[in-house]
Amino acid sequence: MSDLQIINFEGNYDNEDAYNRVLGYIAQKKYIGGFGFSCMPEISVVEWFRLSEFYSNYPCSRKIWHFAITFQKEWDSRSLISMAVWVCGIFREKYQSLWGVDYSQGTPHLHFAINSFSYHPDIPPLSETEMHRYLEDLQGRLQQLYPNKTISLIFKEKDGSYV
Amino acid sequence: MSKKERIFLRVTSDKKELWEQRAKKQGLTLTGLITYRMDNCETIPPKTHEQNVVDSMKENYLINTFLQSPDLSDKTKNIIVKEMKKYV
Repeated sequence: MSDLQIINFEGNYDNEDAYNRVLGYIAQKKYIGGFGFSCMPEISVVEWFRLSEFYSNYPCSRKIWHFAITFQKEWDSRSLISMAVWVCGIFREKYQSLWGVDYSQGTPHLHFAINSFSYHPDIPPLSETEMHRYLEDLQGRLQQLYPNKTISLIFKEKDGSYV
Repeated sequence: MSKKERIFLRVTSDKKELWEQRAKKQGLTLTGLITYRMDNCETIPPKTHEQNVVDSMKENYLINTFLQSPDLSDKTKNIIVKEMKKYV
């Protein structure tokens, strides 16, 4: 097993409840944060994400992207949170994100939700090709930061198989 | 209203007719409708979603910074996160 694994989940993210499911799941984690929303009673974070779809000038069936970064050895919470903020920073200029630190099973790990729809209406949604490019770029950046660690990128299919 | 206080509005006859119909439906004269609309219009255009998201980043930076801070205890960070969770 690699020291760090980036796992992209290819679940059913085309449904109307995709935002609720993924954002709701990440919101259960011990620490959460992100970019592109405000904490206010009038508009929920889910609605902040939905509004980008509403105002987007492009159609896209996939609502949201969900991936995780897992660690073979346990990292302290501050390092995990710093990494989560840094990763979301890669998407920040175009796409909203939510991160969470998961302590529920295995070693503590990170979950990320990235809105497929940009909050800039003229920027196209995150296609599969572009998301894979983002994740490959992330893998490269992590490898530069941690040259002595092995970092793998895994695409988990809908049936649970790995690619 | 004196002649000096009056203003002139240049519109096509089609538009004038349409506006008069709209005013009539609301039980107003055309002058009454225009005055009402002008009195109640916003002088500053509403912000776009795009601008709201850009503005929200300031808050996100602050919260993300708090959560990364070594000077804040886990208990304090948990309070911040608990509060955030209310709005997801």
